[in-house]
Amino acid sequence: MKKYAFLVYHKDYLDFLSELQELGVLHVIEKKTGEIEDVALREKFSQIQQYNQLVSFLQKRQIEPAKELKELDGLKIFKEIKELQIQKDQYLQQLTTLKKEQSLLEPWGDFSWSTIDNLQKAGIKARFLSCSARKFSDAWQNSFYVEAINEIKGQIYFVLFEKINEKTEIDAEEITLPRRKLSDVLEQINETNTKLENTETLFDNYAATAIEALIKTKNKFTGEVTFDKVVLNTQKEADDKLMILEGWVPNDKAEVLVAYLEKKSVYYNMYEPSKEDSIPIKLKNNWFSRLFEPIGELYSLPQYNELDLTPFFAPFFMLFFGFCLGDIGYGLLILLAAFYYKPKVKPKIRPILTLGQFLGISTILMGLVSGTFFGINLLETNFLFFPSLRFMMLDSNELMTLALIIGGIQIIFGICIKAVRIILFEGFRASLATLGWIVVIAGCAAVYFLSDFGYIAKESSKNLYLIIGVIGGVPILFLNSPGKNIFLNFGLGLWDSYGMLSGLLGDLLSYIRLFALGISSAVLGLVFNQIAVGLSGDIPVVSHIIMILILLFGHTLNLGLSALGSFVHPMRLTFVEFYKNSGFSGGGLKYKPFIK
Amino acid sequence: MEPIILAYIGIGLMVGLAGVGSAYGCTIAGNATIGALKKTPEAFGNFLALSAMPGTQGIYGFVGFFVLQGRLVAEMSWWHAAAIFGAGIALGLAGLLSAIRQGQVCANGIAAIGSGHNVFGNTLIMAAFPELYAILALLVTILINGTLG
Repeated sequence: MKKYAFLVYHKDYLDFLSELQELGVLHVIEKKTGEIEDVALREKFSQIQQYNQLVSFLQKRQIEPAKELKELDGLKIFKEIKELQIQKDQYLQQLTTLKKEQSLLEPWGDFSWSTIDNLQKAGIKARFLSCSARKFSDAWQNSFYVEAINEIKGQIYFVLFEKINEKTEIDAEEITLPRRKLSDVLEQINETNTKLENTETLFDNYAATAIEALIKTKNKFTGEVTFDKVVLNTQKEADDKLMILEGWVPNDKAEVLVAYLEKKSVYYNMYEPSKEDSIPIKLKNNWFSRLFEPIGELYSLPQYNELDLTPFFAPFFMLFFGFCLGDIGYGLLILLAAFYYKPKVKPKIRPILTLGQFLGISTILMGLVSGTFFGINLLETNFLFFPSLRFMMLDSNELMTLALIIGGIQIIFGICIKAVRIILFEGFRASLATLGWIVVIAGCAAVYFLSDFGYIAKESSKNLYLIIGVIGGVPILFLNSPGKNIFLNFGLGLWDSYGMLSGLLGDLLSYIRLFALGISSAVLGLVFNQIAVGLSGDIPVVSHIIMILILLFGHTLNLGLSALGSFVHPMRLTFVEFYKNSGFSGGGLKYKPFIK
Repeated sequence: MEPIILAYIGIGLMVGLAGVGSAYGCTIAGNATIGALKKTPEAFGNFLALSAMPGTQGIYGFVGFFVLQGRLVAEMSWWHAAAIFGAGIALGLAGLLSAIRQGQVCANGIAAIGSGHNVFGNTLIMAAFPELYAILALLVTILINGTLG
């Protein structure tokens, strides 16, 4: 990466930016003021969000796109759909009100209010009342002018007639009715329902024709937002006559930019990156490691003067995933699913499925090592597909040791990476202490295993430990900080040793999770097999169906949960144990070129 | 008292406490999910993965019982009973508390994702921390089973 600064006259500036956007190589340096507050920009942001909501609202209707799409104006469509949505809400509100009126009027039938008004003119008032059927007694019939109209669910609805200036006391609930005819209300309900159906049809039409236009308009807004952001990140000098913009360009893209600048005779300066700069990162990996970049980005990108560890953790991550899931059957399922969906998905998602294929292969291989097929323990059964594969299979004690050995290898590997990084970026002398640790850890491990298998006698192994301790210990204790005095070196060395030794033990034991998760997923699979066989009984056909259902449910559940664990825990081992030992701090900024 | 009684108390604690922990943990994360869905329904996949994480402790408890199942016979020795009881307390307590706490970590992550912060990966890593101790307790249960001749 190289840093560029441009000096442009304000009248030419917007054209210059448009051309820069066409080139799409410059990562603009943002001002240090934090979030830029700008009303217009915020407005555009909220527009983009609204467009997103509309698009997903239309996509949810799952309408086949129309065969022939006309060019549509996204802005106009957006307004139309928004209005339609407001209309739909109004219709729904009306419907609620109408339904309420309907339920109030229904018990009284379709009577006309003019009759009631005529009675009123004649000095007789009609009151609408209701009470429970048990209370509505014959006594009322004799003492009041009442008429039962309807009986619904044990409630009697009745009308009481009285003179205008009287107020009859009666123990019943008074009902206030809307001054409408029931048949009118029902008609209006029908009308509103038809209107609603029409709006839905219109929505469906939009869903078939307008989605693309909306997305186009949204993308236009997004482009404008990036452009506006760059404008806002410009420094203005000399009474706002001169515009100063700074940014980063990767070395392999610099030619294109410089050719353009020379052609346009734009005044610019190029700087080498300094230590204080936060330089954006663009990862360069081969096709295999690139698959694991999304995993690495979940933690953080490396800083500019760090090694990108993606290619180093990729094979380990794959192995760890297999170790945790470790089942031939599950691995096959993952592999087949990834193969099946790969041609069907967007090109953007394809690398993730390729990663899935690799993880599937790893699961199959580690399933062979642990001898598990859909929870069936192949070591204890007699029907092996390939009896010759039995030599590969490990029992649980061996698996546990294997998990720790793999962990140890990754830790030592991490420390080696740390040494290489220090040699590359700080010089050989600064790396002596780290090299000392590699000698101590790798040497002691080698001697331990060699004496364990009887290649080295117990007596001579003691001496070997001592020799290794001296070779590694001297740089660790006395050469860890070049340029500082010997006592300070010794103190720092002791402190470093304490941290390293206590850390190493914890880190190594952390890898035991690989084994425990592997066992847990295998045992759970076995349990579901047993439940399926045990619970299905011995009714012909029915039993088999029940068995298959239990197996399907159980193994799906187990595969889902175990796969989640098998993804998360290797991630943690990578980001915590491996990154710590390789001295990776991360916190890099992603290279995002200013592009259309 | 017969030794088998102590052993079964241990199994009860193992499966019961770990299961209760997972139920609580998943509920805590699930509640956060319901809230966060109002703002960002499109992130449901992330929420689902995070809400499922505290669900594993209950499974560990179950796996622990399954490993020890063969030892549960009527005429068992006090030695076996004590071992199973100890394993039950270890796995039960570790499962119970780590699942609840893990659920809270996941719930905070879910709430943050709901507010538009891109912290899915970070939350997954943080949530894996408390789980290790439930995994260790399961491992201890498996190892204890290995020591019983």
